[in-house]
Amino acid sequence: MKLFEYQGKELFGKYGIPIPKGMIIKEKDDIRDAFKAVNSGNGVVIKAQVLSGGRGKAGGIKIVETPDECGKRVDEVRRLKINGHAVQEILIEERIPAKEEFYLSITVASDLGRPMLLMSSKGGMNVEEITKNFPQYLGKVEIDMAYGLFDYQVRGLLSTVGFSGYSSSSFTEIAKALFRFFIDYEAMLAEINPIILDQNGKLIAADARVEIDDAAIFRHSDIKKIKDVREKTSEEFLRDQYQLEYVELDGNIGLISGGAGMTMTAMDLISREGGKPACFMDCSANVSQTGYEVALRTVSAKEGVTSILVNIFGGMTRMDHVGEYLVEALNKISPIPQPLTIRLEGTEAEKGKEFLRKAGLSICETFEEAVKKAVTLGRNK
Amino acid sequence: MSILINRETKVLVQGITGKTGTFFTRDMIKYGTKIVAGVTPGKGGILHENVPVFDTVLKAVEETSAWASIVFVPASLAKNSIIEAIDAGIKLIVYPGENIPVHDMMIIKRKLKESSSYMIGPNTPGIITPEEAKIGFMPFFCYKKGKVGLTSQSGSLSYEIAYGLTKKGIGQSTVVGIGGDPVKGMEFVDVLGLFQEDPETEVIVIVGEIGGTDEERAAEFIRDYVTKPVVSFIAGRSAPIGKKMGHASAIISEGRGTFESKIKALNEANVLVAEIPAQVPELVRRVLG
Repeated sequence: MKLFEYQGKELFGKYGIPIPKGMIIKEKDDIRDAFKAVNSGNGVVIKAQVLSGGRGKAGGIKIVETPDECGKRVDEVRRLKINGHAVQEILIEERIPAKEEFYLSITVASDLGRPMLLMSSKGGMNVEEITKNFPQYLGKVEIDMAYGLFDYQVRGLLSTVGFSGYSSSSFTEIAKALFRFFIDYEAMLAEINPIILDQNGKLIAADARVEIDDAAIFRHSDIKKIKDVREKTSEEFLRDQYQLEYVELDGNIGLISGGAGMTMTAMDLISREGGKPACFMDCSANVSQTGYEVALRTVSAKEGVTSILVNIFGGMTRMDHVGEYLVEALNKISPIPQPLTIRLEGTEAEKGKEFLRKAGLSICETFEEAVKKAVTLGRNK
Repeated sequence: MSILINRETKVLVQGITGKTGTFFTRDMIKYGTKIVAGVTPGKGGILHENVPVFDTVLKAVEETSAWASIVFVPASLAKNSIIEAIDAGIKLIVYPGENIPVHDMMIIKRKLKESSSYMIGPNTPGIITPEEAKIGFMPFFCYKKGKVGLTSQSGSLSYEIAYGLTKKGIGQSTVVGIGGDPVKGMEFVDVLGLFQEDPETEVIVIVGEIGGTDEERAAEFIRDYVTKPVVSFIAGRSAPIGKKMGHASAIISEGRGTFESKIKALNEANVLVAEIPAQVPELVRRVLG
């Protein structure tokens, strides 16, 4: 789960990482008072809180000098949509003029199975841009889970990326604090970009990007609280409520399948036949009448779906059960407006198909045949 | 021959008395797997499904010389059980469960590094040497004994592809599901190394998917070390950028893990890449001669 910048900063602050003075502006708050409270003489930065990148380019960050201007700009920012995300909250912060900007992050390097610290003396741009344009100023070091992060590793990186002498010890302290946070909160990513070096030679975390491992949230009550109050997307709702793995796409073939690899492959075959999948819907974690019913209802109600494909390969799942559940689910919903194409294979598949045939449904024998038929039916609509 | 397991492999079931443990113990015994012991803390001394149950893995290993273990323990408790197995000297640990915290996996991975144990999983159907033994829940009818070494991230897709081979009369030496998590035990390169050494395996099939760099590293390994022909299928050609496709690691992000990058790496390593799953048997047939 991704955290908003202000939530990440609050946690960083608890680990002793210096953060700017700031506050969240609510709809009814007096913006003039807020401006005065955070301004330290250099104006104020208004920052849209969204979980999407490209916030600056979309106009979600504004620098203002006066309380009046602040009020006007806050209203503007509140109305923005950033990469399709509505701005839910707004952070205002003291503006800190930067002498230099650095990059620091800790991620899970999945190919190594251990954490990796990344650092650059070219902060303020995203890590792909740094990798592309300034590879000589980007340093990486692996961290051993048994021993943690050592000072010498950070200092070694500082010299690699051309960070000259000043405040290297406070940089090391920040890196170590970030690592403590990363471990304590079971983060997948903890990023400060940029870390600002201010006019007085002090380092301050000017941004925070944090992603917590979804599988570990049960151990972190404060993160769980954040999750519980957040509005759920339909994808999150289906996962939490019905164990359905759902990803919305923009095509016309409503796809229902079982297993991540199989569902992805079905998407690929649909595209290969000239169709476009409308979604990724993996029902393997909830093989039940309810599971299929919710999946069918969701897919059928999705805008632009002209044809539905159900493709299930049962390993440990018994296909006679699947056939039965599908028939029951369809009886409850009927009539489904879109044509339905079904392919079942695996344990007790013949019995499953029998159930469906008796209910007047036609069955395709192979994966490829089913995809072809679903795409053709979708086109004729 | 085969890799890692055969009909003589002595297998332990951690969490044997639970519902899932019981069900799959029965299923594995039926297939021919030599289940020698079970572990459930506090239930030591009883027989469950005719298998002696012990309180600890160490005790079970001392009494039965169990070599491999399958762990049916919820994700929140799995780290402890897996490390208990490593410390007791179990050489192959299979963890089929989903949603084990990534930081727990990083600790397990670190522990594995200083041991001589292998781990398969998390989020895997397990491993099967057809007509001999399986540790996991692969459906028996998909497999038949033969010369193809198959390894896959996706469980469901490995069933489909193994079944496709079996229906065409092409059997498998061993099938290993490495799972779809970002941090896992055995990776493609580990399995490839074992298949390369196994005299019974004549062709290797890798079933990958978008996300991560497992396939790229596998391609590099194949180029440098694998002399046997390799066939591959990669799922996710049509997946959008930045969206998790079911598996935690199946995501294209920050320019990494793209379908194109994987296909390019595999092509450069002279791997035959199938466009659709149904092509895999044809390509295997071609290289088997």
